[in-house]
Amino acid sequence: MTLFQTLKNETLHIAKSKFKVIALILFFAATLYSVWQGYVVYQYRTDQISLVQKSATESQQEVLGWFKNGKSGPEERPWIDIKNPFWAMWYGNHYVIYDNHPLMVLSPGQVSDVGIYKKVSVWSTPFDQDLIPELSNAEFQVSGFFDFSFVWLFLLPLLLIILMYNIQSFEKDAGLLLLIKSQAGETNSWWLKRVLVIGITLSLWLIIVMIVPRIFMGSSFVLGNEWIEFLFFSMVYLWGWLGLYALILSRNSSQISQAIQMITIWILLVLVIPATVQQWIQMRYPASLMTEWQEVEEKRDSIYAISYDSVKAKLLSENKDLGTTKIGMLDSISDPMKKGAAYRSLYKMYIDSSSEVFLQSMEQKNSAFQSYAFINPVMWFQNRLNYLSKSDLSAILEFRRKIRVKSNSITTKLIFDEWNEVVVDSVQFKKYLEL
Amino acid sequence: MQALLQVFQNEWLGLYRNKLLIGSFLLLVFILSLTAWMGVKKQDQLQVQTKTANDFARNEWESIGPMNPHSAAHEGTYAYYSPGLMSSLDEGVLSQVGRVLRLEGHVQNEMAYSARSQESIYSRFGGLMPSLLLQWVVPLLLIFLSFRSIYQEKEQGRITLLLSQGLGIKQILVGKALAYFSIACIALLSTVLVQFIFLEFNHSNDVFRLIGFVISYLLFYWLIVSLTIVLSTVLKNATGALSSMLAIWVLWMVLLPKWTASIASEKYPLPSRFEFKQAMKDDRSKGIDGHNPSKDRVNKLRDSVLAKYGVSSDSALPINLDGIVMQADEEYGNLVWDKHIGGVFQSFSSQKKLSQWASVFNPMYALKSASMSFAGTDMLHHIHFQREAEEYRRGFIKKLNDEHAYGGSKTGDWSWKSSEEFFKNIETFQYTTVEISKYKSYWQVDLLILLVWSISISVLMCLISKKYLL
Repeated sequence: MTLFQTLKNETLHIAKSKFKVIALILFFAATLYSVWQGYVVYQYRTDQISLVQKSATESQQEVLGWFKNGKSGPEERPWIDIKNPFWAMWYGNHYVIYDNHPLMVLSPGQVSDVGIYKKVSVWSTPFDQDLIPELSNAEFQVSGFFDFSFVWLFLLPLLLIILMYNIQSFEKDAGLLLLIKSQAGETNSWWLKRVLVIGITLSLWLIIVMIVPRIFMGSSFVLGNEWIEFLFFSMVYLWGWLGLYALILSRNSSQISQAIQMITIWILLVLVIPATVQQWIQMRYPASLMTEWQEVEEKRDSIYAISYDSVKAKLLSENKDLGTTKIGMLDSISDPMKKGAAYRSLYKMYIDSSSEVFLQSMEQKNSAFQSYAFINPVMWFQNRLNYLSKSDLSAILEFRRKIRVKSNSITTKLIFDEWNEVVVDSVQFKKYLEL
Repeated sequence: MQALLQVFQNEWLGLYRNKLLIGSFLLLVFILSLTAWMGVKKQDQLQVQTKTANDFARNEWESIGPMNPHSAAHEGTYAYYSPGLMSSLDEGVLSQVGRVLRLEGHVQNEMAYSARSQESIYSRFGGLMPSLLLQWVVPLLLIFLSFRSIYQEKEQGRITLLLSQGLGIKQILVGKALAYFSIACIALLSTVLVQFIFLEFNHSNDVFRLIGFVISYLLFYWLIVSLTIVLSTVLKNATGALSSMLAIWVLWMVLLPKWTASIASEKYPLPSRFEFKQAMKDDRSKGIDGHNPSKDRVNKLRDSVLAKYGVSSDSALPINLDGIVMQADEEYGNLVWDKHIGGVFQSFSSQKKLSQWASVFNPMYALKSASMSFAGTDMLHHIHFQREAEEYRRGFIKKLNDEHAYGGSKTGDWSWKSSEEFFKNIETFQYTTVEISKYKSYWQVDLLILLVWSISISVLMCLISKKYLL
């Protein structure tokens, strides 16, 4: 039997089985719906980012208006002097935005576990309390989004069971195998071709579905290297399951036996093994209540108890250029704001090194999980797709790192400008905005 | 009754002869017990971790030394959420939500540092908790055990033989259903037994929770068994019965919960974080700000305080006006928070109610909801903790503001310090899991839906028996 004949026969076979037809239609509908759901999530995030950016721009324009009209700040806060670098930076409204990658439409991953943006100031850290996700019902989140990666990684194997559980076994149960053998020569290539037909059909569907976001999003959904990689891993996943189920078919059991074996493998790979790995890792590395971080923050008082001379000496040892600033060259100062800048910078240095330690410990935990990939392949694929759509833990850590970097650059710029007694004007303010 | 027992025994005998099934069943019971034990260990770990964190926070608070009360309000403290004993059975929303709440002046923080924000997705369906196996695997096992039970009898022509022995059709069906149901009971009880052995049930609340947990699962298992038997009776072949039950299982477990969540979220939308913050900020700015008081409101408050003490200037006051102003600001802020977060909590509650009623079509959701509710790990229990912690924060900040106002300092004196003793005497935040009766209006709906489903399928099983078996 040629592949074309098998394709024709298999199509007829599926078309005659109402159950398979309904399952296929449901699956196709579910994939399209899941892409739409992903798009809703992506668009929501895009809208929120636009709102925040618009609000920040409006605030910045208001400050520029103060410069233009010779005002020192908001009328109800007379102590604010916008020409002072500290207040100018404070009113700069700096934000760090989580990279909203277009592939999130297909795999939103863990993006709902952290905030979309974070207002960053000199005091900000990657572990601030306000770095919390959008308001959502946690009971609904327990099973995650109905996104494309969910449908493909978890429901596709179930569809394959429906399509494949009676391949060869039906003929065996009905005593038709000998007839097949007489027509096809031998049965192995016959059922393998049938599996191949299912694989090719679903591969084509995968390509179609992965192009669909282009309809909603236009050119912002780029069919570039990451898209190809996403397609590649999704394809490998499909053929991996086909191969696994083909191994069961090769054992030539009854329909019920094949169905039970297939569903058992699904339960093991999709449910039991990932859940066991999660339980094991969570018991080995329990989610932190961040008391160590709170301890780090509490050190602020001890830093503020150090003498100014010691603080200055430590700052100069870390950044020699500070010695060339106007204040850096003075032996003593009395201005509490300029002294405050020194203490603030030292505290920032201390908290910055600690935050990196915390970020690395999260990465270590993630590495521990990666080492279980060989027994937990489904979740490896899940995290691989999330990695490509910038919605995995590494993207979250990257977001946290960006907060750290931005806050550091604000702090560094501030101490130099405060110690050089810079008087901020609109030009200087615009430079602050570029940080 | 005797006939029923006979069918029951025969069915068990048939199962016992199938070594593969018995092996699978024993393995499942072993894994369930092991999982329950791991759940207990995890619960112990959580308790220790929370206690350590609470001790740490208290220690930090008590060691702040002499300090200005308002500085102490900014210093603040922390509340850590520890779920009740029953969370060892079902972790519910625990991984999704933060367990750390910072309590400080001027602002109501939200719970932070969820497990999910600290780790990769290891599993899409949660950790290996007893609830995972009881909800996903046990029903599947029941389906696989019972899908051929009636078809096989029909195929082998044993129905007539059984009837000729004096057995009624209803007795055959119910007897078979009871046999499979008893298997589920053993699986469930093995889990519960581990809880009884390793956990200390000192409080009747925990016992009631456990009883509710067991009842909801028993109702669901009866429903699964009887529905499979109905399909096995009605459908022409065993493959059809198996396929249909698997389709129902996928629909109930995977598809419907997600669609229900989508519908509930659209029907009762939550504000975006940006809108929420903006609305809070707008409302707050209408009032007075402790640091930047709106002149009119503060002047009014100031005049009333001056009149009360019969003096004409702040400096003549025997108390510190700043403390009074800050407390007034706190109280206004509390009203704003109650309005906005109250709206969010109301939306959560409406979403839950809609989902519960949607479980008229999906009893699995009713089971999940009841399971989380009895385990004390649903959204309502989480909200209860937040409300309790907020109550504590209000009392805590009021004490500090009162100390600032009446402790001996004068208006404008921000360098005045309270003694270490004063801070030590402020009581610590204590939280105990809420009584299960508090949320009875929710879990009663879940139980009712499970009960109606179970009874309806049982009635259906009896009604169809004659039509399809005679």
